[in-house]
Amino acid sequence: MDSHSDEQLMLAYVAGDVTAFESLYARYRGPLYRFILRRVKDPATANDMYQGSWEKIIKSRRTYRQEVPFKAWMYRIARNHVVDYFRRAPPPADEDVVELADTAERPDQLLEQVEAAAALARAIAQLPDEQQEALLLKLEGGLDLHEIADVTGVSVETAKSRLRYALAKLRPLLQDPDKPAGNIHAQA
Amino acid sequence: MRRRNDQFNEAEAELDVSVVQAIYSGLSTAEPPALLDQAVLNLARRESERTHERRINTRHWIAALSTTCVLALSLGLLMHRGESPPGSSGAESSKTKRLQPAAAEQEHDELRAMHDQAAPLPEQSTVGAAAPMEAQPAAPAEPAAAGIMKSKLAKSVDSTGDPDAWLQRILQLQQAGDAAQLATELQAFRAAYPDYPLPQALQD
Repeated sequence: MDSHSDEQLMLAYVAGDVTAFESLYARYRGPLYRFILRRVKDPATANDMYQGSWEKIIKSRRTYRQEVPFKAWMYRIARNHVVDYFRRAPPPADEDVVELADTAERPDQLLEQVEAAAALARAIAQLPDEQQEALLLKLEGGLDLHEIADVTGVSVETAKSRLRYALAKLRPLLQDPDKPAGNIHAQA
Repeated sequence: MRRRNDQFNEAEAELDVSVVQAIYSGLSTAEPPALLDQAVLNLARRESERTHERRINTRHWIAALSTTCVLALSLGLLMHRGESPPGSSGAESSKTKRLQPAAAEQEHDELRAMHDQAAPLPEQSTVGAAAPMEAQPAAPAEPAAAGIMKSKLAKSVDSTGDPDAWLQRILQLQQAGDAAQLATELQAFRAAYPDYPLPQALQD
């Protein structure tokens, strides 16, 4: 099953093969969960959103078409689910991302790297919503510009510009990881 | 110049993405709780089974519907057959019944037409088969239809118009022992040439 493409697995599941879905789920459970968690910034809400997203994916499986990359289709469903949630409850302003690297679980990791990752997570959390969404789709989902544009429902140029602004805001942090995230946001 | 700047920005952005990606990969550890995994997988399984059951139910429904249709059709045919008189078979017999009077009427019309044509025969010397009849005395009165039938038969058998040749053929039939054909031919000959003398062998 691992040698099959996402699209083949999805079609196999639509035809009734549950093991195909299990393989597909194993591929995307982490990335999709982190994408949602970093968007909603609250583990309990992220759990609800995550389960709801998969529920929508499963229930709308018959609408899936092989021509569309599964990854983009899946992220579009999850993204729309999160957008619906934000319409009801606006996103929290400047909350810290809760799932920072756990040094206790990885004692071999250098402290600087962990701190840099934590600073990045904070900086991403402070990005404007659309830029954050585009960047997370790129970093977590591994989507290209066309797929990001497709998932977010904008033109490729707009998606490109959002991504570029997001990276520009993160650049000071990349040059000086000790710089507080608040300053990065202020410079943008 | 501007294009060169764009290219530079593209390369710079790519570099930024790869650096951010490297730092980000050190961060990405969060995963969904095992219970959530189980819930999603159970849902996927349930939905798949439900679809499978729905497919089976649809097949059962189609089979049941087909059986009902076949039964209804059979019952309808049986009931229709029960209404028809014994010995006739449903729609076919009623169709035959409808056709029979029409056929009889057509036959009657045909005979009438033939009678109309046959009536002035004695006066028409140009008709081939009727020519020898002119020389003969008038035929005894016969019912019109029977006469027409006979002349029709005579016409059909005696295509040569030569009574001697016809009698020869009849004698050949007698020698061959074909009694049925002999009787038919003889009757037709007598109808066509009532006063023509028959050979001794045929007078019995």
